[in-house]
Amino acid sequence: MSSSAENPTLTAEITKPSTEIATETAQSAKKITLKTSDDQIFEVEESVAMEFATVKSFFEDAPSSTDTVPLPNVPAKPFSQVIEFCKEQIKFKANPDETEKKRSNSEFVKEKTNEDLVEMIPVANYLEIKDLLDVLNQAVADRIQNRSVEYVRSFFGIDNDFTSEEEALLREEHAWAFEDVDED
Amino acid sequence: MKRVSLSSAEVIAGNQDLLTEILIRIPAKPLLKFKCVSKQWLSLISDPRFCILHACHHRVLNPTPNALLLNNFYSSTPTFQFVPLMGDDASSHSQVAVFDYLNVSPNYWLKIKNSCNGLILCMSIFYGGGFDDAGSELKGIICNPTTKQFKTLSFPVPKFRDSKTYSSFYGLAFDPLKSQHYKIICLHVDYRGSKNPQVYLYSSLTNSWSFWQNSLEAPTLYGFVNGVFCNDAIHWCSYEQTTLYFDVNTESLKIMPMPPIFSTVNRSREFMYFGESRGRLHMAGIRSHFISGFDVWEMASDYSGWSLLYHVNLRSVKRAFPKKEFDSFTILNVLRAEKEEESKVVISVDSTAMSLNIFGGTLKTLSVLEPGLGFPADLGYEGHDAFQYFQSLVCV
Repeated sequence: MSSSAENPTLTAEITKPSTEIATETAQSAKKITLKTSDDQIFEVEESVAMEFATVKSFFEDAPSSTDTVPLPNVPAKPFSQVIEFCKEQIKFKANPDETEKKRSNSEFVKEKTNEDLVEMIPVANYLEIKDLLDVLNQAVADRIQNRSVEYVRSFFGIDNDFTSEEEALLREEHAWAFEDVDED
Repeated sequence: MKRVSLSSAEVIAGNQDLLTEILIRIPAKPLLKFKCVSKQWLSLISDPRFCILHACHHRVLNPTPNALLLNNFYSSTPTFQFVPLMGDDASSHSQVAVFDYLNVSPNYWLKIKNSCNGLILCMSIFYGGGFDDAGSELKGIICNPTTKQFKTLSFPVPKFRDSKTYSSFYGLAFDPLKSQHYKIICLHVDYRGSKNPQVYLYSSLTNSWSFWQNSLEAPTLYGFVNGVFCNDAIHWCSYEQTTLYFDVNTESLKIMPMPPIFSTVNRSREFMYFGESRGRLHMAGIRSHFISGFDVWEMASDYSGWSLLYHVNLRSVKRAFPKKEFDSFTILNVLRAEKEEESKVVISVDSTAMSLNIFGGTLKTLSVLEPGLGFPADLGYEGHDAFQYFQSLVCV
C-alpha cells in the first residue's frame, strides 16, 4: 500500500535511540510459518501472527514449537489481505490514534471488492481477529443496506424460497421500507 | 454486479452468528425490506433476541432519536405530526407517524402518552371522556411504529370512592441494554382524597399488572403529565419544590428536588420543557416577559440537584421571524450531542418545527406543523406533546 510509505510512525522509529531499534529488529526477526488451505506457505512476523487469536493460543499451548502452523480454513488470497490489515493495526497498538485508525480502516475496506470482503469474513472469524471482523461486517452492512432484495440474494448466493404470494405479502406489509432503494 | 465467490458467501449465509453480526449493523428500515430475502432471513430478523441485539447495537452507536412524534390535540385520525431529526432521509420516515394499523374505532381518540427507545404507549379514549381521562374506559396500546407490531392492554381501574375526581399519570420503561422486557407504570391520584398515589406496575415479562403499596404523597400540581424515562427510572415533574420518580430496579417511588425557580412559591421562569437526552434529565423554561432566550437545566446523576446547563439565545430565531410576537414559541426537545458544539434544541415557532444549534445559533427548518382539529391555528405544540421516536425492531 502506497500510504504506508508516508506513515509518520515509520519516520518516528528512525529517530529513536539505536539500542531500541536493535531490540525491535531482534524481536521482529522472529517469524512464524503458516500454511494455508491451498498449501501456500506464509512467513509472518511474530507480532503480526499474535494478532490471530487462534494462532496465539496454539503457541500458548506449545510455546517452543517451531512447526509450521496449518490453517485448514484459510485460503491464501484473503489471508494475504488479512495480514495487510493486521500490519496496519499493530502500528496503532504502539501509537493509539482513534481518528487515524478509523481513517486507515475505512481506507482498507474502500479499495476492496465485495468478493474480497466476503472472503475475508470467514477467515477473520476463524483466526478470531475481532477488530477486523467488526470492520468487515460494517463494510458489508454499509454496502448492502440501500440495495434491493434481489441484489442481496445475488450477493450472498441465496435462493429465494418464498412463493410469489408470500413475498408479495411481506412487501405489502412493509411497503415504505422499499422506497429509496439504489439501482443494482 | 459480479457474483461473489459462492463458497465464502455461503459460509456466511449458512452461519447464523456471522450473518447476525452483519445484519445487526443495518438500520431497522432496510432490515424490514430484507425480510423478503429468504425464509432464514425472515426468521432471523423477526427473532426477538435478534431484535434486542440490534437495538443495543444502535442505541450504543447513536443515542439520538430519529424523529419526534407530536400528539395531534386529540385529532380523530390516528396520524401524528412528524418532525424528522436525521436530515438525510426525512420524508421517507414520515410513514411511521400513521397509526392506522391500530384500527382505533372512529369514536375514540388516540393519544401518545409515552415513548421509550422505540416503543410507544398510546391511549385510546372514548370521545365522551373529553380531555379529562378520568371516568372513561381506558385502553392502552403499546406499539412499535417501525414494525407496526402492537399489543392492547387494559389499564387497572383505581379503588377510589368517587371515580370522577382522580387523575392518572403514566410512564414507560424500556432499556434494551438492560432487559428485553418493558414496564409500564400507572399512578392514580385523587386530589380530594389522601394524595397518596395508587401505583400499578405492568411487566411485559409476566404480562400482568401488580398493585404497589405506597405511602408517599403526590405533589398537588403536576406540571407535565407524561413520565420521562431516564437511567432506569420514570420521572414526573411538578410546580412544587419536590416531585416523584419511580425507580424501576428497586420498584419504589422516591422524591427528587425541582429547581426552586420553577416552583409556584418562587416562580421567576415559565417552565416549558421536561425531558431526557443521553441519560440526563433536562428542564427548560423562559423568563417571564423576557424572551431573548431560555435556560436549560440538568439534573445531577445522583439526584442531588439541578444546575444551569445552557442559556439558549433566540436572536437567530427573532431574525428569522421578525414580526412574530413569540406567543406561540415552544420547546419540543433538548438534544445533547456527543460533541457538545452539536447540541441542539427543537423548537416550534409559527407552526414550524426547527432545530436550533445551542452554541452556533444555526436554525434549520425540520417540518411544518398542521394545526390541531377544532383548535385555534396559532396554538403551538408543546414539549409534552412531543415524543422521541427511535427506529427499532424491538418486539412489544
